[in-house]
Amino acid sequence: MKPRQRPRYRGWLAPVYRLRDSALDMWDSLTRMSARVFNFRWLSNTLSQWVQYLWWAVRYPFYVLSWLLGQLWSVMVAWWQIRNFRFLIQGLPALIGIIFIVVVTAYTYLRADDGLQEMYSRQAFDARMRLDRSKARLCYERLMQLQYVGDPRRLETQFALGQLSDELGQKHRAVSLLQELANPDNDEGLPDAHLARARAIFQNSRRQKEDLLLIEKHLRRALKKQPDNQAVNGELGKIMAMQGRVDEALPFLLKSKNDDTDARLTLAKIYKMQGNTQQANMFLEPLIDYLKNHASGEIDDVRYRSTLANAYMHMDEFENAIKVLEAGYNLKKSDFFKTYLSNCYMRWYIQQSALPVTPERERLKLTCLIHSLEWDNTNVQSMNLFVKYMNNTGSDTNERKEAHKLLMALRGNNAYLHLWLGDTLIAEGKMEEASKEWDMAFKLNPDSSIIANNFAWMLTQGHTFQNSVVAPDLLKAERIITQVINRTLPEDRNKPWFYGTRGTVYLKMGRFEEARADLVAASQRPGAINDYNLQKQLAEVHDRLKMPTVADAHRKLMAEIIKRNSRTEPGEQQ
Amino acid sequence: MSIELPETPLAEQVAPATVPVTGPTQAAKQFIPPSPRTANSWLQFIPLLIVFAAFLPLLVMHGVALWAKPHYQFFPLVLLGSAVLGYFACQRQGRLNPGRYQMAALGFGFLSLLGLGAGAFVQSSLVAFGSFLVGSMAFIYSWGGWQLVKRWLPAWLFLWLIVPPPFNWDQEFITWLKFVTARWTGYVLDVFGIVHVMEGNVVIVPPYNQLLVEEACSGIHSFFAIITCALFFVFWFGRPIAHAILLIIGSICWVLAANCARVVLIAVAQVRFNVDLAHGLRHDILGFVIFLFLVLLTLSLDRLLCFVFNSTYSFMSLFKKGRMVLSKMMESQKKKVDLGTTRWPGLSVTWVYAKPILVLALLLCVFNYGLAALGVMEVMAPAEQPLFDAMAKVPEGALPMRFATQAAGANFDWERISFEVPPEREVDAKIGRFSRTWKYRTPSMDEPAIFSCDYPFVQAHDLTVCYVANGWFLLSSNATTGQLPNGDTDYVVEATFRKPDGQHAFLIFSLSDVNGHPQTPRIGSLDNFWVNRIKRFQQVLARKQTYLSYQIQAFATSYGVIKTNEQEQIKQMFHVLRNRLTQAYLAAYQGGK
Repeated sequence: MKPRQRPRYRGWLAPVYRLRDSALDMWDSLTRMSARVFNFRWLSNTLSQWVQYLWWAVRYPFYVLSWLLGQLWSVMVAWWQIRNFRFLIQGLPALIGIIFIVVVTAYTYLRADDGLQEMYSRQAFDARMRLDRSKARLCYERLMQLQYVGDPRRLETQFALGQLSDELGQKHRAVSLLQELANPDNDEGLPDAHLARARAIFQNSRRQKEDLLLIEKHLRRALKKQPDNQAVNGELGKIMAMQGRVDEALPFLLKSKNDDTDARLTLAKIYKMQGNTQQANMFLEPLIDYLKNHASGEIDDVRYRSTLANAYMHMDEFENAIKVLEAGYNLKKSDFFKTYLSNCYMRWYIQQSALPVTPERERLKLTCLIHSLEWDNTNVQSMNLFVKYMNNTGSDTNERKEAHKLLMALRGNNAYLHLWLGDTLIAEGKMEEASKEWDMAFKLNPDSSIIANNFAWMLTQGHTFQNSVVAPDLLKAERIITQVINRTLPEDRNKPWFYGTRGTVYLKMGRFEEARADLVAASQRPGAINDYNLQKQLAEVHDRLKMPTVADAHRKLMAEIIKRNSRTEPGEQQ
Repeated sequence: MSIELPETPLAEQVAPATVPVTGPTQAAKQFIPPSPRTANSWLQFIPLLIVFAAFLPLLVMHGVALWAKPHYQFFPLVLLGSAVLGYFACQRQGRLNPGRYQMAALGFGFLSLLGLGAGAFVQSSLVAFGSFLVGSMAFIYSWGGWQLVKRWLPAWLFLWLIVPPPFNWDQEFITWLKFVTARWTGYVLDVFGIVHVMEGNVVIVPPYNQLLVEEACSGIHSFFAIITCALFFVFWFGRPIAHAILLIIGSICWVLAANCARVVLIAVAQVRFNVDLAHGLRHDILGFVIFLFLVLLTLSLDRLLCFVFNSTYSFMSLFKKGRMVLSKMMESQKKKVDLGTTRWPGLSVTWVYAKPILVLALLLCVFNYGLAALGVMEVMAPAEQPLFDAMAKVPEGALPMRFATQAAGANFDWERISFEVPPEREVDAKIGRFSRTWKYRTPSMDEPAIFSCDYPFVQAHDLTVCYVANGWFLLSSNATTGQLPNGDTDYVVEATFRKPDGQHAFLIFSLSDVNGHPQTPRIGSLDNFWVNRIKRFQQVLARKQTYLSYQIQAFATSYGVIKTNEQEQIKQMFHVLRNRLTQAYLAAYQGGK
């Protein structure tokens, strides 16, 4: 900026003017300096330059691209103009083929694997519903291929395939597939497989203690993975109740399904055993409603009818239970219903026996026993109750006679009635007649353990056959009774009786060591301490084996029995 | 209307027509042999015939070996195609001049005869055929020079298609091809929603029908035929290299796709319409239709590639010369260059006329025809009927009803539970056309063991490959040798397998020729190649080896691991039964002879 031209001041005020001018100059330079300091044009210039560069950076790639595209387009246009379309038409099948292959390949690679698995699962389910097992097998095998190792769904597929293989009769394959799913020693299996394994063991085993423990182990493995699985809870509760662990069983049974009739029935039984009838009925009543609906809906369902009858019996409604079973029998003439009806009458009799004696009740009791035997004349328990009732009840002689007559009429081909008659006759001291009855019983049913036992015992004594006395046949007796013992389960309550019979045989044969072992086993049964004959045999065998102290102890017991029960007569057996 | 570009630059083609053929200047520059014309023109072929005759037994042997491989049964078409290519390639070529470097041609000719001798010695028709091709190229050069070589190169290259790869690599390739086909078929069946399971090369469709890719897809064999077709098109139309490569790759893809389509069609027909297209006339018709379709697709692909690369002009020439130039080129292309009738030089200039060559060829003739006359050289397909007749006479009772084996302190009692003669299979069935199968059960194992005799096989047959193709995973495989009482070396292969569903298997098998002499079931590697070849020649001379053989196997499965002691028992069972079977078979075979 050009410096300002100042006039030359004159006069006496000139110094003042000069001062003013210098002040103004100073102000000017001050304003100029401040203007220089606060001037931001350089900044705006720089920024605008950068913005321009930026814009070029954005714009030029598009220019280049559009130029290239333009070039390409012109090339393609030129290329297209010189194409021979006859070749394209001739190459059309190949082009369509290529497109088809590309589409199929793309579809295959892009498609989710889950959709395929879903399709196969659905197909497998449909096939199982239609009982098309070979197609279901195909689907499960493919699913096994599709599901990677470690996929939780793979275990379910393996389980289904294992079950299917079992249904198809491929036992080895089924075992191989299911074994690792239901390994009781680790937690890597599948709850459903453990449950199925537990059920299989329950159905196929003798239900001994170790079997029940193994079942429990499987069920606990299943519960570890699915603590709220109702089916597993129900099964575990039932198994525990079966072992007498009712307190432990209760929480599991309470978690069981409402339609798990066995579990609910077991629960009611437990409450009833504990005297809590109200609680028991609280479970029984809905169960009965459910079963009634179900039983009426499915006329052939034996299991539901029997459970319904069972529930009625637990509620002491025997008439209803009998109605249900009779209705079932009328629909389906099955031996199962006959046996169940016989048992139902027998249980009614037992229930009535616990109540005070009245003439009506006595009549009802006898009727129950007779009906029980009418429905199933092989019901040994009913027969024993009947014998006991006949021996102990003497109030109504006519009815007893009628009942006896009926039983004699029923005897015909019934081995058990012959057996009962033999028992009765021997109690009356009629050895020969009893032998005849037992002989007949054994001929009619040699498979019955009780009959075989009695027959063997009879052989140790000798018997008459066709008016001639037959000598004791100890070898035959030993063979028969050993077979009986071998085929009898350890928990069979009659087993000690069988040992007693064999002990008698051995004693007579002079095989005292074996006789002692069997007689000691026989003495494990309840009431053995009151058996005079057994104590006598034990004393004798110990004498023979030079064990006087033990023999004396048994003699002492014999004396106590005589003293305790003066009516006990020697020669009584069973 | 398409206009093909000339295969060689115009200048090169025009030049020979304009240059005078005769004249002292040309004669000085180029060696021109004396006139080939002789008094009797047929006599000049005699040396050539002698050399060719030396090759003939091994060429026939090669043909027989190729015919035994179903996927090479198209080889007569290759010969025909090569002849067609050669015939049209040498039309109107004007005068042909013999090759300048006759000594080099002679050297190659000599080498080819040496190769022929080596091929005869090691009984390898492959070596002999390779030598023949080398010799024929040397002859082409020697006769017509580079010009003839250029014209006949496609035909000569085409002939290489009938040279199978060594060490059974073609079989391995086919196995791989089946695997790929099976896998792709699985994908495609999934796309179409067809329920199926793949087990190796086996497609299983409802109601649990097993479709072997081998059975459902004999189109695997069409692979080589289609490649041949594609190459024929390439050579016939004179396609550029990029075009040729793409066409061949495309043809391979077509074959794979067509094979998938074939299996898918069979599966769909089976599942949806309950129609069996896997066997019988329907299968043959389907195969024929698909092959025809494949040929058309290959041709169509060639045209599509023409559309992309070579419609009217070469794409690059568009930039180089511009459209105006191109239109001129188009004009010039319309004019065919005619070099005149092909005039062939005399054969006497070729290496086959060299006297040492003729002597060598005569010696080889004597040697080769001698071997063929002795029956050592397989110049005819082996007679299968005596083997079939003898095997048919082996009754069920030839093997014992019960016997025991003992190993690792345990006794296994084997009891025969069944005997079966499955229906005759396809001629090229990988598991043999015929089988006789006995089943033996022992209480110690879950499943009965299968003892089977399968036949006929030509040369080696590795059974483990068949089981892998059936969905078994090979866990271990071990080939062992032993000495038999009669001095023969026994070759036995043992293998263990597993299936994804937990099934285990143990296999033991061996191969014997029609005379009962054990054969190696596996093709050897390059190790000790020459030693093995010499041994084989000795065996062939001693008549201890023929190409036709039968296979004996024992196969046991279990859903648990087959333990070592069980394997030992199975091995013993195999040896006991094999001895009995071999005795029964040899009695029938020698009786039949």
